[in-house]
Amino acid sequence: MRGLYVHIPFCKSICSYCNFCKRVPRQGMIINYLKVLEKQFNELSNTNYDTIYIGGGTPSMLTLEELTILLNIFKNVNPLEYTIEVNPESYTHQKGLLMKEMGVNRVSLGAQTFNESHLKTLKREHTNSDLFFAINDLIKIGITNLSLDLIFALPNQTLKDVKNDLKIVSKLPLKHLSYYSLILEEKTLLYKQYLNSEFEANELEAEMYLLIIQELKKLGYLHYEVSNFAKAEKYQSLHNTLYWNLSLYDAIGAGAHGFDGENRYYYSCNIEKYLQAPEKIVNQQKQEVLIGDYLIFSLRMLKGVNLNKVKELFQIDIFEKYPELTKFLDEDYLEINNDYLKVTLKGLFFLNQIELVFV
Amino acid sequence: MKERQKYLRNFSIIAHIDHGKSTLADRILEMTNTISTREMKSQLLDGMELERERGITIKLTAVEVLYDADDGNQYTFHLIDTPGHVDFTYEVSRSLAACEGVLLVIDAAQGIEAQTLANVYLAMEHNLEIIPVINKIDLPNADPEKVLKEIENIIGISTDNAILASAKSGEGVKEILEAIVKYIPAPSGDEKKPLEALIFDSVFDLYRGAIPFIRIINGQVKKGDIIEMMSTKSHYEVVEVGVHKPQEEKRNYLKAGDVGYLTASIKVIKDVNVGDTITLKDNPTKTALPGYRKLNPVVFSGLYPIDNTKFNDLKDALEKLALNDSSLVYETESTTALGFGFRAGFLGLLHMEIVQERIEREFNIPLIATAPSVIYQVELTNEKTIFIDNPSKLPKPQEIAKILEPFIKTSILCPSEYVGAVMELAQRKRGQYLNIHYLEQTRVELTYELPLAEVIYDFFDALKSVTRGYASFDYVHSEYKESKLVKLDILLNGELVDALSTIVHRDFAYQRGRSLCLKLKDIIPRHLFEIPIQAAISNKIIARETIKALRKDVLAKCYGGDVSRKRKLLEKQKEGKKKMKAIGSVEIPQEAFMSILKSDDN
Repeated sequence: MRGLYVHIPFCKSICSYCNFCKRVPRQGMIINYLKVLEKQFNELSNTNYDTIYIGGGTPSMLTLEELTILLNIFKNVNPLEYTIEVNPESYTHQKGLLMKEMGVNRVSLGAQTFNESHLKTLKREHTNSDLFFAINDLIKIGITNLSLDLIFALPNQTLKDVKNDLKIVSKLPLKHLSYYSLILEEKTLLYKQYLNSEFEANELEAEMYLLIIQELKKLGYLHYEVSNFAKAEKYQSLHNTLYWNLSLYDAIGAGAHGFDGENRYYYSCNIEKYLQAPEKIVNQQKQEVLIGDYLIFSLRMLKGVNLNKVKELFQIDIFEKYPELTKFLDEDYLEINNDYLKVTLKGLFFLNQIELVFV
Repeated sequence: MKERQKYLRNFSIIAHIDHGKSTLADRILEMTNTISTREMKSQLLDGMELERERGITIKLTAVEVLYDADDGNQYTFHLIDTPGHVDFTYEVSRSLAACEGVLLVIDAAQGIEAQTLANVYLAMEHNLEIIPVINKIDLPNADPEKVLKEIENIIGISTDNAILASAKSGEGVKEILEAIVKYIPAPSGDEKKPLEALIFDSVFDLYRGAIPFIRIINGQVKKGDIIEMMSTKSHYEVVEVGVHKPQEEKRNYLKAGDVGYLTASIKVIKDVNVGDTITLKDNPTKTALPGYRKLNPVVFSGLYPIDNTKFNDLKDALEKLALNDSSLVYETESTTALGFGFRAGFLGLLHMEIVQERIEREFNIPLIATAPSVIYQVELTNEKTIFIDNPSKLPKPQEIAKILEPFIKTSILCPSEYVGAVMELAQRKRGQYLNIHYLEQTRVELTYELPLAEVIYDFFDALKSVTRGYASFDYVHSEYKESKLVKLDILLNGELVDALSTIVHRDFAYQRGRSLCLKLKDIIPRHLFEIPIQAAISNKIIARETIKALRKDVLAKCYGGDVSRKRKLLEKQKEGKKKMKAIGSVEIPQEAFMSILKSDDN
């Protein structure tokens, strides 16, 4: 399987916690950007992709016209899964129709939380009504494979707050959830506020994570990756799984990351540079690194890593190469089941410690 | 005086840090075509990479240059570059003893600063001819007239032969060279008298042994001579003599007035001591040259390899460093917390930092350096007196009659608007006000007596900070005085960590204890179990903090296709782990040991 990632680094406003490649666009910038994007796409040798993922920034902030231009670039691709990221405040019925018409069959909505006070802290610009409207409208239009992005361990968020968020989730017709833990990143507004002691670090991260895992299980979600939950196996994110399987994915757009099996590359986030000539930075991956990454990401998939596959792909015995893994087995952080080495619930909480073995 | 001696000039350049002495030295080399401009590397005389990085000269180097003067004669100059930092005053004084004159370099904008004064007093003690050079006159803030007046009023020497210059552009440098010819006297000394050669520096060469840099005061020396080191009475046969151009250039002999080096396959580094006199075995001089002093370190720190198995590597590294650094002393020691290591003595904090950096960088041995300590004089109840350089060696309180600590007399120069802030800082550091002296309307010299222990870590940084960078200071050792001192212990997870013990003043003990616990709580990462941190005096707990247990260590963040981000985070985590030392079951980062000295008030 191969995928295509497309990055649209434009936003109407900047969220306080974001450290992705994004900016508020200048007049005419988006049109120019789309021209370069199309050129990049035309330079790709094999556009027979199984997945397309349009991420950002905020892809949905494009006007209907701009969105039309964008989606037309990929009109001849027939992916199994075609995802676009949408922010509720910039969603319109027309845009929904356009997406459906152009073959989009999956939408990832940026909800983060349903608590309006927390939304303010994060500087998200949507209301819950915006979100509920978008969800219902998309289903009516026929795009039913809907995913929500949520974040826990927000400043001043309590367990009760998380319970409330989960209650609302239980009422929504979703097929997939990505539930992330808030990480304070340097150079973000939220981080500055933290340094200024405007709020304290959330001490309930572990409890919240456990609560989320347990509640979503009750709601019938399959916990298939550290931060990802699907209503059924067929609703797992195919595109993201490419990342975690170390499969191949091309990338176009400023700030977009790709992998060709041997090299990881990305285009510089500098939009001005991109508009002149996209700057590609390529990093060759040593075999050791590829093996390490494969194991790190496979273990983040809760079904684990197939030991036989590892032998087949890399000709190694995982315990021979990484003897420290045995102590994790002994202490119940890892277990082996039917040739799959996977992480236990206890191990899940300390997965970083296990992953250090592969670095 | 012999003809050749008439055309010799031995001089040094003295200045406060950053006033431009190294640039001036470069310029002199350039203008005497000692090396071609293309070969010119900025700050050439700073040989070592570390020094170049930190912008500090540590090693002395003497260079011989030939100058064709306006009077038609060719003169041989010996230029000696010196460190300006207060830690290395002894080395400066020994190199001055090798000269007849100095170029006193003063920044035309900054004016006279603490080190300027310190060095010029040294030069005056040695009766050297002083040529003031007002440097950096090209800068907008330059006020040469003001500086000349300062020199006359503050130092009290004549400025008739002063030169205004810009070492950077080269302006005035020709005048400087002529002034050297005109005002600095030729070396006196009789080449027929018994050999008296002053060692003012040395270097260790793996193949040729220790190489002393010498100034011949009287007599002469050549290959084949049997020399005697007067301080250790050891004898060696001279293999080679020569001068630095700055590369080595062999000579047949060195005579009275010359500055150069000799090699004699000296493998015992202790036989080459800065300040010592070299004479001939068969015709020795009756008295050694004055001024030789056994250097005493004043600041001590424990050095421990993070990886216990590298103890021997650390031993090797210290041996090698001591070869070129006669003031570095060390001996083995051990603590329960850190295992086996060394207690090393340094001339000061800068010296200590440089040695630590070199061990980590050149020898690749990650180190734990415990907080620097001074030597305490402890009078016991049984009438004996002991000296301790390590807080954990302090005897039990019942056995102690009194503790004395070393004091220093500091002279702080700062603009008058910061006097209040400086006095407050000195007060906080248990300083005793001695004197205030107005150098001019806007500048002040404050004299304080301070405990050395309060000064050795970040006094300099705090001073710079409260005076926005304008203050400078210098100090001399004063005397030992009694103070109300107690030992502050730290316990982690219930266990005493002897390497974290410090000696503090009783009045500040509670405050220090509390702030130490807080600092450690910040620095020590969370573990899978809760960690209590306690400060104690004589087994009585005076402060406590707790580090909560880690309940989650998994990355649950979105990073899309940028898979390498994850790896980078893990690599960072792994690097962090390497720099930790396990004390019992607690992993402690390197910085924890030094953190205990950071100022509470920042």
